[in-house]
Amino acid sequence: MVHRITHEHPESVAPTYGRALMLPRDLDEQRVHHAHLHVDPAPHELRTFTDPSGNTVSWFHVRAAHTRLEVVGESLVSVDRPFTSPATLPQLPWDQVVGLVRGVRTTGRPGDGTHPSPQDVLDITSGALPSELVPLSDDTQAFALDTFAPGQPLARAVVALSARLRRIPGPRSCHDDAHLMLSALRSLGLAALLVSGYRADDDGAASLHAWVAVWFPGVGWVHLDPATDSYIDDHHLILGWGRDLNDVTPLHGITYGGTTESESGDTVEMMPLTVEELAVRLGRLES
Amino acid sequence: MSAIPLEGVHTATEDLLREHGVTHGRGLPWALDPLPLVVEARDWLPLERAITQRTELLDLILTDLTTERRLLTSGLLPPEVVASSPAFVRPATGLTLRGPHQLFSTAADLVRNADGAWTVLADRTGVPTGMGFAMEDRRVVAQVMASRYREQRVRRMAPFFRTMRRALADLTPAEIPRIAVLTPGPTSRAAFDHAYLAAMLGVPLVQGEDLVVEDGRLWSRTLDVREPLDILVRRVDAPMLDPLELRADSHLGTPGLLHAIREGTLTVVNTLASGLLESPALLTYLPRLARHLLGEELALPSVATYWCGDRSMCSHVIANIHRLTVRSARTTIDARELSLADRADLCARLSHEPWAWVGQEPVEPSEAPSLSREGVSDQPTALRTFAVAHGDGWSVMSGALGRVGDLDDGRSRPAKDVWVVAAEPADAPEEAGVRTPGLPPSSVITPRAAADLHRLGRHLERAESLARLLRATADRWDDYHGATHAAGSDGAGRLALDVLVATLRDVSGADADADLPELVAGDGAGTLAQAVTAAQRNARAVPDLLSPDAWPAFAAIEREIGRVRRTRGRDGTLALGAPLGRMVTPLLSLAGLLDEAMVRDVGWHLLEVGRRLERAEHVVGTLAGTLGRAHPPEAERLLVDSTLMAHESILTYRRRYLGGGVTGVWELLLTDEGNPRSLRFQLERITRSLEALPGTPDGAALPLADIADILTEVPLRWDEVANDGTRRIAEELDSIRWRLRLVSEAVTDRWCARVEPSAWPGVTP
Repeated sequence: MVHRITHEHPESVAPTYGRALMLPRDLDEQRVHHAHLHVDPAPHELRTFTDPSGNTVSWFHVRAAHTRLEVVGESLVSVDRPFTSPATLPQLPWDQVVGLVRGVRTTGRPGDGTHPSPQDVLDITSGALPSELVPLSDDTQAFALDTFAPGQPLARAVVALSARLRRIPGPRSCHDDAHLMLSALRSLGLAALLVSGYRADDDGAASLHAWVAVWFPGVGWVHLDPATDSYIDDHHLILGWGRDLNDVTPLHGITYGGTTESESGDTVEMMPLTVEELAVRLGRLES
Repeated sequence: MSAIPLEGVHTATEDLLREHGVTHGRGLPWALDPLPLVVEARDWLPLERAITQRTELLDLILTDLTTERRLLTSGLLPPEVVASSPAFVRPATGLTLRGPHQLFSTAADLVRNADGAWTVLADRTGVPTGMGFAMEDRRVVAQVMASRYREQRVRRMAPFFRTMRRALADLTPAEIPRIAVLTPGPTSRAAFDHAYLAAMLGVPLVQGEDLVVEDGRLWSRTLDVREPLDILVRRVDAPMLDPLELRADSHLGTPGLLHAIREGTLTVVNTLASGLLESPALLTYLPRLARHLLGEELALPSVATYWCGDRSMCSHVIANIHRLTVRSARTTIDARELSLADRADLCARLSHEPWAWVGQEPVEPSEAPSLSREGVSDQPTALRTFAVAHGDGWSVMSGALGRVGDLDDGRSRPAKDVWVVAAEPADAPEEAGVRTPGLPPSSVITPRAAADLHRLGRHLERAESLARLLRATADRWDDYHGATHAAGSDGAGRLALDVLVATLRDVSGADADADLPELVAGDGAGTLAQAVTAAQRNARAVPDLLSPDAWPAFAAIEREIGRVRRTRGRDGTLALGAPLGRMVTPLLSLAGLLDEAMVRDVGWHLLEVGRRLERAEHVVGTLAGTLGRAHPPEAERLLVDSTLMAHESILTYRRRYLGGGVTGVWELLLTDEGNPRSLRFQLERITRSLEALPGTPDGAALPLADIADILTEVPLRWDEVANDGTRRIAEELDSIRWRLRLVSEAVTDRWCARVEPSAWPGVTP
């Protein structure tokens, strides 16, 4: 996996401080064998750490004067995601889930006998509240309620909502769709987060992408891609999650000495490897 | 009460506050009720214990929320209270303080009920503002109520700040930690408070743009050598501290600040998470948290608070809205004062985002005597107490910031000093042998402070030069309008006056039709009043670098300007001479302070360059205006006199040049090496200061050398008059003026440029 972002300024600038979320999160269904962030010009300081919500975040400081900044996230990941569909998920009615989310928000326990960790409790609670880029409104709630009839299983209703949202015409990016989805789900009292990551087409072309993760009691965060109205699979690679895009932008920075005008561009290359090729690469990394 | 003559006390209080430069931000004067709230020590001690217990509880809650976060799953504290708080700064969770406490200092807003019991309205844990104001109030009240202050044994407040200073030093392993107070800057409502706190702690006052993160730590930007900082006492809200990782639109922070905290090289108090404890909903749960975490009942209760995030409490609030106060983290609404329709709207808001709101029972605070312009009356009184973590325990300030009025409704109300009086000698002698750790001598002048000092020098000098030129012109005005004119002389008088007024407008840059009173007291650009205002603004931005004696001088000048403003146009006479004369004296004392009360460091040299450049430009501009063109002999004599008076050189001139004439003026005001008003004198001072500054650009030195050349080359031909009546020197003066501007630009570019970072978003999915 190679994600390259370039950022160009019309005149020479220095220094630049940057924060990147360009290395995938290590999870059971996506094991990160190797991950490294390259910054050019060579950074004076570069730190990669796990932030409080578990995402792999990098902080860097470029001191040398530059007009072009290049940040490359490079990683070797094996993905083995179990197939997820409305049929494989528990058939919990969404209104019952709202009650369990409510339990977490107010007491720290869903009330179904499970005991989420403090970090889970914070994530679920944050995922149920509005955030800077995800305001709640009566309109989105009314829209969502048309799909979420009482007693509907959550797993199906979410897919149906995504399909309806996608039919709304208008130029929207994938994170706009994801934010709309979050607003609708949160306005119902459900907990959902924004996920930033990559997605590959069937022909191998990959791009930066955003989708949502919905909290299913007893299961955890289930990822749904509003671009395809389906649960994510091995074509997806998760970078990290947060309340909205502000928490999970792949790269942003602060620069001294320039104007506010600057341009960004990125390329994503996802190179599928066979198990044998993976073994070779791992061996090379170890030596 | 009886023995104290109260007449004049109110005015004396206002005068003192003005002289001390106490404001509530943006120049709004700080209001203070001179009658202190007196609390007997026997009543204060139990309160102090209760504050300590409450602070200890808040500390335990914060400790849990920043480390194990067991409270979130305990059922004792709804997670929503934490996650919905605007002070919930996600990237900052888990950054902890060294030592036994996570909460460093707190303030609590209290009132006393009718039955004498204390009740907390709100805890101020993010940025506990007001300690500096409390100390200033004490300083003023102790002075205006001096006899009463001496009679009573009033507990002192200064030891609290020394305790805080020691507590700060304990926060890092550094032997002599470098500490600074971080302020949003002079536009903040509490800017005075921040500056006073810094002064009481004996540490510098800094703004976000004064700091830079490099090599894993935080540094003060300076003009030469950078200096590291170990501890920041922040007076900036947590989300504004780091535009890279927190609010990108913040101009109050420093990019990378969070990184320095994560690296363990920087300690920020109060910690970024501390504001979580301000959540009004927390008040609902404190009693049961006290039982759980301390095994005690809460000794200092909060006002009865119902959190709308709880369904039954929300119904209670909506059903009783007509008699409740409704609060969120950002607003307080007294629902009792609302119309029925507005109450319904409010209820709709509550049910939309119930987690954000609480309903509170109104409290009737007990009343205390208060003195205002109208006299003494009983007024509801509230107070803000302060505590600081110290060793294993807590230290509570013996005194508080009092407030006249019952609610914190955002309206600014008079403050009140709070006296804790003891029957027996109260203040325990301070621990012997424990020295407040001293700071290494710091000469840190940040570029921002340097720019403010440079402008201060310019604006003060502009005020003084203008005052003198205005005075000389006003004298000419009085002569011309007042005297019964001797035949033939009034034409010259009129001409001289016109030339002087035109010169004034030119050198000040004021409106082309501004009259003399307007040039003194008008609001427009270029006036004397405007120069004084600008100088004060610069002075307020560097309060920790200036002598406090500057404020009475500013107050005196403002008084005179106010007088001119009130009396202008009242009759035919101008009568500006006397008030202008009274302004020159405090302006001179300010100049004296700059010379005699400031260390010759980088900051002083920049200030000096500012003053001298301004004076040089002024003398050149005035000469060009008054004598750059030849006038009839009688008018010229008057102009020579006025010009010399405006530059404090008339006596020397009369002594040296018995025959009069303009050549003497050139010598005295341009080339004389010994006259502190001459151009050459300014050039020498500027050169000397530039040499003392680090990295002077050639762009500043070269034009200076050119000007010196002009002064030596051609003095003999200066008096030649061209066909159009202009003197040869006018050309030279123009060229000097232009070169002085080049110097000024080079200096500003090199030392006074602001660093403006710009945030950019990278690609988005």
